[in-house]
Amino acid sequence: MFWAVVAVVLCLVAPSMNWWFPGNNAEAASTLGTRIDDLFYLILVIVTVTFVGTQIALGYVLWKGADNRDEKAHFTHGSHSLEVIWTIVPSGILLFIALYQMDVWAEYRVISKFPADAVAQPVADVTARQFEWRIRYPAPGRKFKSQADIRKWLRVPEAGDLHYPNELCVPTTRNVLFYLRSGDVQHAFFSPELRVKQDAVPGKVIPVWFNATKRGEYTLLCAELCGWGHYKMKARILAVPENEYRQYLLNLQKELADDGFDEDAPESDE
Amino acid sequence: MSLRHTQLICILLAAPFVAGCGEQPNAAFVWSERTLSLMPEAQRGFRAEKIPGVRKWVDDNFGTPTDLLAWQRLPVNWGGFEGVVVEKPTDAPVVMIKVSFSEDVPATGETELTWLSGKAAGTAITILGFDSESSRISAELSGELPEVGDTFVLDLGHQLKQGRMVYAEHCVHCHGTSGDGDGPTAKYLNPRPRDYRLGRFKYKSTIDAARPTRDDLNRIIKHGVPGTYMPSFLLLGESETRAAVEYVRWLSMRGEFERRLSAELAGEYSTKAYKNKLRGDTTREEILAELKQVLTEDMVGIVDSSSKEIAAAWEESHDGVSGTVTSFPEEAKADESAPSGPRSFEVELDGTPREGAHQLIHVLDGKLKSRKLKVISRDAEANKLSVDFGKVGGLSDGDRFRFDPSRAIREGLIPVAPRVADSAESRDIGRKLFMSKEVKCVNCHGASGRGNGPQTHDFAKNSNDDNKLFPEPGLHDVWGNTVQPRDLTSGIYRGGRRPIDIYRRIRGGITASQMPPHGENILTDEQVWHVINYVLSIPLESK
Ligand SMILES: [Cu+2]
Repeated sequence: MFWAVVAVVLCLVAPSMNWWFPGNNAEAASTLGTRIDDLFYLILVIVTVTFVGTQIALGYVLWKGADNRDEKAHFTHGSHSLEVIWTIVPSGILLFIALYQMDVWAEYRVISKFPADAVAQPVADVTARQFEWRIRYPAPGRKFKSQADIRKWLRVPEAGDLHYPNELCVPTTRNVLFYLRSGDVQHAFFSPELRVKQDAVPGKVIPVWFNATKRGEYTLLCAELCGWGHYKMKARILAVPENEYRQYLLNLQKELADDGFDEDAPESDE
Repeated sequence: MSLRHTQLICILLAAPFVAGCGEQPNAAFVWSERTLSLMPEAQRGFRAEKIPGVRKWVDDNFGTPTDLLAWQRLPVNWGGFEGVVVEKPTDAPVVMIKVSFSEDVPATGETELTWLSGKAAGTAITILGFDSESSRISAELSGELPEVGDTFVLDLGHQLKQGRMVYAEHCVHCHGTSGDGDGPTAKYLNPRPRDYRLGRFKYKSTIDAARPTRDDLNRIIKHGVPGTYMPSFLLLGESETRAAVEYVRWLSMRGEFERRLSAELAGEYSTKAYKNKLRGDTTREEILAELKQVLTEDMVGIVDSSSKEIAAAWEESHDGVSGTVTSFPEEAKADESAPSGPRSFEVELDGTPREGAHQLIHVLDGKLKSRKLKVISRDAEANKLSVDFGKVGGLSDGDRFRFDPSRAIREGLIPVAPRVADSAESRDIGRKLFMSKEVKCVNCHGASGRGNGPQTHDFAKNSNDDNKLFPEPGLHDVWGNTVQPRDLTSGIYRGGRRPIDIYRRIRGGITASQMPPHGENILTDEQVWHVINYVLSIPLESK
């Protein structure tokens, strides 16, 4: 009984104590993430109810059985109808979960279900390589005219592209899409707080989207053991409001355009 | 399978686990091949007579990875808090010493304290702790008590120790314990990890063989070297990165010191030379006597001159002394739009900037942040600086600034003309220069920029080996590895892709690996920018 109570209490308080999810908020930092969390909690409730229920039933049977000195135990080949019931009920539950999560899954993985605004203007091209992340942004103000234009940008670099390692800056409260690829072996783009996880597969350029709901610095890890330096593949995702995001890109553009020329420098010295 | 066999297999399976948990071997620096090629006596010296050999000289000045030594003559930011005794210490079994520091020092437990002045100057003791609230150090002293005014450093070398920890976690598996670029994972890598022991680095803001600045190393750690296995460590904290830079500089100094000492003895006292001499008329006793003489008489001078030269070379590439404005005259803070011209103000400097080498200060914070101002004069006595503010108002108390590092080590690497705007015409001029006989880019990079020019098929001479030809064709770097000229179609630039990065590569070359410098006599600044515009455009052509 004690353990049953502990289990129920733990399950109930876990979400508010941030035990299930990383980050300093139990809630996902992306729109899709929140829905993934809902699915998780739904399954958690189902599993908890089932677990506690079966344990109570088992305890009850044991309790009753231990007290029963009159009846002699006998061997049975089981009950056909009982087995049908406990096959159909869990199958029903699983089927329900499978159907219930389908639209979240589709939005997460099926390109035709991706938000159109994100698909039209990708924000970055992310390359995972041993053992770092290389980010390429289109030039600030670069508008993609068509999907063919995007495909060309993915194939051929452009003069105005901005390159930076291990830091991906994205605007908040907007659907953003980036393309993920690998420079060598298989890696996986994993941002626990944003609930985004996608393998980077050599030879493939995979679109991934999310919508960061709040400003923050989120972890970006490699979630695929990719070699001896796998542990080094830690980066960050900066989610900032739109205007700061624009400023970030402009600052980066300025930094990357540094030609070292200094008008104020004295002609020579020494 | 019998029970005996099963037991045997179980024991064998368990063995690695048991062995893995045993005592760790003492961490030791790896000796260079040249050092190990010396006669055992030249390496180890003569213990009975207390004559040190090469290894002892190195160990005595640098220590071991777990017991690092701070050789004060080397230009390394060891880390440590300088303080002074302010009250006569109490005499008890545990002595309490009231001290003061110029900065906030966190409370510590057992740590090291090195006396800088007073009776015990130069000696180090282990203190029991420092209480930051009462500002007292507790220690068990056996000898005389320190006096008021004695100065000391607390926790000397903590930055170097921190650097070692960072290095051990992230760097050692490629760059090796002693920075020889031969760690356990190094053999899987192409290109090979940098061997610091030559003091040569490729991607830096300084000329030819000049050492890189701290900023250069810092940038490499943060941004990595694209196209190689040196990844970006952008998320490593500021203090960790700084510490790692110090440790790498220190390892490089250690390696170079060892290399120089061994080089002095390698000709006459290698095992090979020893055997040759024995084949002649010389006896073992004669050789040993001669070696003893060299080790006692010449070595002290060699140690002194080598270490000083190494220190000077690194000192040359310093990043400029920084300082704080302590008192800026109020009336000079006038209207910012009004021309303010030259102003004189009081400062506190963190070090001594070199005379003549600093005509600029870079403002690091405050309202003039990232401006560069011309220094008119410096009064070291009064700690005053006279600066031309032109039209930009003035500084405020507490603003930080930094002197420009020596410009001699950047000779020719600072553009005198701004980048020429990228255009089809500019690219075209650049392409013609790239192809021209005078500039010779194509010799290595090839006409299409693929890094397959004619020189990559030739056999080159090995200057480290009597100019004999290398066994394999292609270009070789100073470490003896074959190097591939950059494939300019890849769009990957190892030393960075900012225009200034490529400017430095073209102007200064990468002399450690055959990319020659291109001075004003070959290309004007404008022409360099044309070449850069062309080079940066090569990967953009539709594939
Ligand atoms: Cu990875």
